[in-house]
This record gives sequence, structure tokens and C-alpha cells, in this order.
Amino acid sequence: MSKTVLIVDDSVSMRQMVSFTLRDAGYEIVEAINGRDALSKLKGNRIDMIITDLNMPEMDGIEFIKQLRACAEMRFTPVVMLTTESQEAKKEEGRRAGASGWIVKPFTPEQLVGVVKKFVR
Amino acid sequence: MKVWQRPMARILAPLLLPVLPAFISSPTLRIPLTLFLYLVAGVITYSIVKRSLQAAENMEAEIRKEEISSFEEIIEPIARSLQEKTRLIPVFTSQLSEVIQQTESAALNIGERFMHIVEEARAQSKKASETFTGFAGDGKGNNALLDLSKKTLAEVIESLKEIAHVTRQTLSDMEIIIRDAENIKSIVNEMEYIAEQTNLLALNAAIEASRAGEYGRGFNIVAEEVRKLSDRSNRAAEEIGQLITKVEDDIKGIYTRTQKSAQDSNRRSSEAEGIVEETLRKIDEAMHDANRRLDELAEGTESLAKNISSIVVSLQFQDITRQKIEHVIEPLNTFKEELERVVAGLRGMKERIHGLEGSAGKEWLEDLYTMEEERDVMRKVLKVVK
Repeated sequence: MSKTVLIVDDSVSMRQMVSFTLRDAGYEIVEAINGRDALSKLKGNRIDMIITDLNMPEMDGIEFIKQLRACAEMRFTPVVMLTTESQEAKKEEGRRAGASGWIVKPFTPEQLVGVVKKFVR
Repeated sequence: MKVWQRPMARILAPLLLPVLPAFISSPTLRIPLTLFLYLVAGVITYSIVKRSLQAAENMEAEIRKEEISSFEEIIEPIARSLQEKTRLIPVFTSQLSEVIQQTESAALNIGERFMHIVEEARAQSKKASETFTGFAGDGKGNNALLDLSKKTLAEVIESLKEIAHVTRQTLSDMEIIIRDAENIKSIVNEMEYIAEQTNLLALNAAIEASRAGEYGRGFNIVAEEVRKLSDRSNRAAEEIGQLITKVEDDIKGIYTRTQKSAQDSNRRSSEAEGIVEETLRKIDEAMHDANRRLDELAEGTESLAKNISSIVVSLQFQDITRQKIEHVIEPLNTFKEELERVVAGLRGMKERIHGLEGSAGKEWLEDLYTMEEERDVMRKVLKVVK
């Protein structure tokens, strides 16, 4: 049974690109346009891993991770931040919120699939 | 105005001129006159200084008024220009937002088209593979066209071999028949010999019967009948011999033809088997080659998919540029707010300056100042009569 990855990004082209790469690698994909949308998508979907952008309207990535970690059944779901922010401070903020890792844009398909494989087998 | 034309000079001159000779000639009047002159000089000096101060204050007020006027002249164009420029900022931010939307739409479109190319390539590769499997079989014995053809050709070869085997069996059977015919012929010879001997015995019996005279007449008749039977047996044997010979000849003819046919059939069967084996070998080679090409096609398709995947992923530059542009829009909006505040500040400053000349401004300053000294300065500058 293939694993399901939730992609949270307000950019439709980014969602399309990440979905295409991961579908090609054999993963099922669920998409959300921001943190609030992602929280609603978690209901009724079995999610094995989450990839989220940081800068999003309505609810940004950090707040989404915080709310996600407050939910008991999502406490251990891997969450990877997808961001152009390479600063240590931003990474640390995400880590404190409960992120499992991060991918700095721009990245290659191999890097993306490699990170996902590291968390979901 | 000359000094002597001033009111003080006009008053003092008639008073001082008559006493000037007494001041020079009388020592008793010199002291009070000197004191008086000191007093006059002091009054004159005070008057001059006061007038000078007044003139300076007036001049300062004029200068201040001119400065205010020129300051207003400077402020207003700046405020107007800033306001006009500020109005342009939403235009710039809208243009940048439009750029974001257009690049996002373009990136999305490009991504979709590339993904479509990958899907098409994979579909073509799969179709080619299915077509090949339908033609060549999947190697698991399924009834593909080529598998059936190979099976049919193998059956044809087997049939040819079976025919050759049956022909050889027929020839073998015919050889047995020929041998049996030879045996029959020897039996027929034996029958002819028996018939001849019987005929000879019948002839001797007839001779002996005639020698016996009347008593031998009946026996002579029997001898004659035996001779006739012998003749008939001999003829039958001859006929059988002829028939057997004919049958033997016919069979030998058939045998010869069959043997030749069998040889031809064997040769053709061997040739056909060789041709079929060669054809099958070539087909196998062609299939192997086609399989290799299909594998190359599949590999090429996957390589294409990988490259296209890289292209699609590289479209994330759009998201990066979007964020960079947003990082420009955000400060621009802040600048706009700041500039609006500056314009409002400049306009407010102008109004306050105007207000200073009116009673509202004066009242405002009166309330603002806490010291009487400050208020005096203000009144002096604004020429307010208390």
C-alpha cells in the first residue's frame, strides 16, 4: 500500500511540482493551500508525512506545525519544512515548533524524494 | 532722516544754542550745563538704541515672515510631489502582483505540459510493449501471433516427418508384399508342376486303361477327367502366375515411385526443417533485437521522465521569485504608508504655520506655552497686542 504525503503550499505551481515528483516516486498526494486548509485535510485522510511551506496566508507553516503537534494522533507524523529560508534562526523556530526536518529551495527531485524516503518507508 | 531734523534735536537745539556762550564763559554754569548735556546725551542715546532695537525687531519679523512664505513655497510642491509619487506606489505593487500571477500561471502551464509529455511518452512505451507482446508473446506460452506461428511451423515440420515415416512404413509393407508375391509365384510354379505331373499321370493311366481293354474303359474316362482337371489347374496356375506377376510389377512400380517420392519428401522435409529452423532463429534474433530496443525505449522514456521531472522541479524558481517580489511589495506598501504620513505631516505643518497667523494658532500657542516669557516672544513675533 502506497504512503500518503500532505503538501501544504499557497503556490499552486509549487504544489504541482512537488506532487508530480512524489507521485512519480510512487506516493499518494493530498494538497492544501495553507495551514488552516491542511488541518481540515487531516480529517478523513490517512497522512504518513507532511511537507509544508513556511510563508503562507491565513495560517503560516510554523503555526500549522504547532497546532498539528498539539493534536495527539499527529504528534509523531514527520513534518518537513519547504522554504527558501536557509537561516539557522528560521530552522530553529521550525524545530522548536515540532518540525522533523527541512528542504531549502531550490532543490532537485532526487533531494526531495531522498528526504521523503528518509521519513517514510 | 538727519539728526537735526529729528524731533528731539528740534526741541533741544533752541534751548542749547542760547546757553552755549554762557557755558563757555561762566565756570559756575559749566557744571550744571555739563550735567544737563550728559542727561540730554543719555536721553538721545536711549532714544536711538530703542529705535534701533525696534527696527531690528521689525526686520526680524519681516525676515521670519518671508522665511515662512518661502518655506511654504518649498513645502507645498514637495508635499504635492510626494503625494503624487505615493499614489504611484499601488500601481507598482499591482504591476508586481500581476507579474507574480503571470509567472505562476506560466510556470503552472509549463509544468502541466511537461507532465503531459511524460505521460504521453510512458503511454507510447507501454503501447509499444503491449503491441510487441501481442505479436511476439510474453515468453509464458500465451497465444501471441508469433508463438502461434512458431507452433504451427513446428507442427508442419512434424507432419512432414510423420509423412516421411508413414512412407517408409508403406515401402517396408510393400517390400513384404513383393516378397509374398514371390512366394505366391513359387507356389503357382508348384501348382503348375503338380498339374503337369497330374496330366502325365492321367496320360499314363489312359494308356494303361486302353491296354486293359473293355475293363479299362471306365478308368480311361476317369483318366481323361483327371487330365482335363490337370489342364484347368495348369491354366489357372498360369493365370494366377500372370496375375501375380502383374500385381508384382504394379507393386514394384508403385514401390519405385513411392521410394522416389519418399526420397523427395525426405529431402524437402529436411530442407523445410532447415528453412523453418533458420526462419525461427532469425525471428528469435529479431525478437531479441526488438526486445532490446523496447528496453532502450523504456529506459529512454524513464530518462526523459527524469529530465522533465528536473525541469518541472526547476520551475520552483517562480516561487522563489514570487517571494522575492513579495519582499519588494511589502516594503513598498510600508513606504507608501510612511510617505502618506510625511505628506500629512507636511500639510499639517503648513496649516500650523498658517494657523500661527490666525487667532486659532495664537490660542494654541498660548495654551502650549507655560512661561510668560515664551508668550511675550510669540506676541512680539506675531505682533499681538496684549
